Amino acid sequence: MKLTVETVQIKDLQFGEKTRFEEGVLYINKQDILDFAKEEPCFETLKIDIARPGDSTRIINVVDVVEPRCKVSGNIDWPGVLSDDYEIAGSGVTRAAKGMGITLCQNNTYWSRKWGSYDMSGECAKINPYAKMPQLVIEPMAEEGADFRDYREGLRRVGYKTSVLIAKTTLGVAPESTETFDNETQYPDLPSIAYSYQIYSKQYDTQNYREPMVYGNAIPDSLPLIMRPTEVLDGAISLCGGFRCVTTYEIQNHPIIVELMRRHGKDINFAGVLITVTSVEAKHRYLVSKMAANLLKEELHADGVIVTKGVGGASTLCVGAIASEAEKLGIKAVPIIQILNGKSNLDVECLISEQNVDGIVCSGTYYHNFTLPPVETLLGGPEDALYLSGDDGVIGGHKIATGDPAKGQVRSTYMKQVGLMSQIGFSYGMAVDY
Amino acid sequence: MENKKWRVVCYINQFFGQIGGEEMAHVGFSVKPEAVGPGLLFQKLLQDECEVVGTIICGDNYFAENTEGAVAEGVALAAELKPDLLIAGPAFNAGRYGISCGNMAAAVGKELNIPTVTGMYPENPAVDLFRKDTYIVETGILSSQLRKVAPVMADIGLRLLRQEPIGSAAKEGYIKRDIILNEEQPENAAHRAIEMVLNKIKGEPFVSELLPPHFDEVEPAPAVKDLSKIKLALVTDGGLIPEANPDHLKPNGSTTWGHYDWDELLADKHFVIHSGYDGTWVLENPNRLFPVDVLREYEAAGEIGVLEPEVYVACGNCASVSGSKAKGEQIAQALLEKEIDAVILTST
Repeated sequence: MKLTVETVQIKDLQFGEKTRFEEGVLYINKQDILDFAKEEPCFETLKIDIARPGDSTRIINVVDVVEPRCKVSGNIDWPGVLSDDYEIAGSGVTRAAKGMGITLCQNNTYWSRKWGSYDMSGECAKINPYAKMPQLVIEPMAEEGADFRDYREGLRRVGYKTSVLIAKTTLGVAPESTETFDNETQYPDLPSIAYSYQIYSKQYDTQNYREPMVYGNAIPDSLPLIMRPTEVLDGAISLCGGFRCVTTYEIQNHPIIVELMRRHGKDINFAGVLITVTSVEAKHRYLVSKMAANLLKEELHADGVIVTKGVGGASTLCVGAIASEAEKLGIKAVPIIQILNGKSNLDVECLISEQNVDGIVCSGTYYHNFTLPPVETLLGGPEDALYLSGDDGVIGGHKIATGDPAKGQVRSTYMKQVGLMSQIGFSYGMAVDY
Repeated sequence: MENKKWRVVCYINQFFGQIGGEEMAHVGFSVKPEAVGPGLLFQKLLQDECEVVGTIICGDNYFAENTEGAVAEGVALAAELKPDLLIAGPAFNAGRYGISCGNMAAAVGKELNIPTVTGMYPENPAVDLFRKDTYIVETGILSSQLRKVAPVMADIGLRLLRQEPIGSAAKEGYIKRDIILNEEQPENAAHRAIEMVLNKIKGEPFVSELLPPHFDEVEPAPAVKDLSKIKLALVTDGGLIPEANPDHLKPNGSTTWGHYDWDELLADKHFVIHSGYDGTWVLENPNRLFPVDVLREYEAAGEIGVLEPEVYVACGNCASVSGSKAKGEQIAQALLEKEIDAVILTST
């Protein structure tokens, strides 16, 4: 399967009377996006704003950031999410509009056990890719008594429809660059690297709602799946929960898949992708890890594997088990994990305890703390919203509202800042002992 | 421009204070209004911006034999000198001297709210006691290393005075203070992982960013011989607590725990504070977290002696190893005081 991604660069984002793309400026007629809300029974309306780099703006209740993309040929947009038609994603031509993001917020703080935020200026913005580009911020206003499941799926649909709309608006302009991702031809003489991608854990499901993440389907207790790398880039995996340190934007530009594809046939052979979920029971974990290792060896013929995880401790144990089982079969494994607290030292806080896992990338501690100054503009929630720092929290819809006013000075953490910590390797941080 | 110089006070033992060796280790505190011993070197290193205004000297045994009193005495002497910075030692691998340097640096830092710095060999027993409370610069075993380590200590001290950031332990040469922070790298984690796995495949050297720890081996306690005579308690890290959260547990990184009468807990408003799992099933039937229903049947049938009516609840999400050890010791102590014979630990 070959996927060609052609790109145009968006230099600025403005509201206008007609949605159009002219001389690098994307103009958006709000009504075009508001119309998407009419198709979602649980939304009364949408609040739509633009946030620009350098603005004194804080965006809260963030659950996702999306890059504008649409299919040009060869496939449909977001099969299983925007349509009930199923096609396997990952072939044909996709248009990507670079240089902006669509930030999706849920305006009810208490619907998700995990949500993120980010500021468009200040200390965190300096190291945040999303704060360096204009953002179209969409926040659906729901009716009283709306169900959070409907809300989440509606928000995802609105976000993805907006993504498609914007990308389609650019189609009249010739692409500035094109890149084809293709690992059909295998090069067995090159070091062969596979990617084991843990996409989901049901431990974070709210009120037993299973997030429909694979072509719009939930796969809570799935055994390992083999998926083509281009499927992942082109709409097979879609987020539908709280913020868990990965965004749709990062999946669309998946840094491991993109880099392995770019080097495929040069100094690397990209063997393929395994999709796994976090096991919440040991028996399942034993099977998943052994099965994953076996597929890596027997089906993908990998010499090495990079293993990434979802948020949390159980997820770390699972990637550790996969890496360890792979090593036992002679496959060199490198998991990317994080440290789950900040008041300790790295000698004791690695949650992988299998001694044969001797090469680990650490993309930071969750609890590198920040104190962020008051802002002029708050998006993503009401003016009087509280900022739940990570010490405070909301669990399964149960309020423990002890946060500071979100518009004022707030305490935040690295994991809560959307864009600073990516489970799939998009971020640059590393945990260091002080 | 005439700048006022920062006032530096040094703390040293009787040997470096040129009072004498082991035979003089009993001598008490004395103060010299100038730099003495290693202080001369610090004075020279810091002369542009600081002045060593005094040196506090104390015998190793005097300090070790009544540490609490010595600390109070030492802090009072330091306070009189109105320091902006305290430099203790360095103590190298000397055990008693390490304890007095660590105590002085920690206590003066806390009481006078000023920066402090000391130096020790990593295996000095004082390191583990004080590394979180001061900057302990890593030294060699022998005092002949003074010229190598003093500039590092002076530099950290000066930057603490200027309120400039101090970098990571490895970069700066001090011993880990149990703070983990993130630093942005030139390459993202994906690129770093690809390079690492390629090096592993090729058999080339690589540096892991983390390594699996060697955890303590915990010997299981001997099996209970006769269940019908024991007092049994239940302990969990599952975070089921009263809505009022009287013990201030946190959804993650919690350092506290509570004990609650089971029937009262369920009769009043309660919830799962743990943010690492979906509490839906526990709230639907709390016996899924604590098998009280079954244990009460066993109790009624005389198969177990007594089931302790209070349950012990911690929240295990994102807890550090040291924080968990501390909670474990506190809970174990509380169980001992209630003469509990055995516990069932349930996790989530």
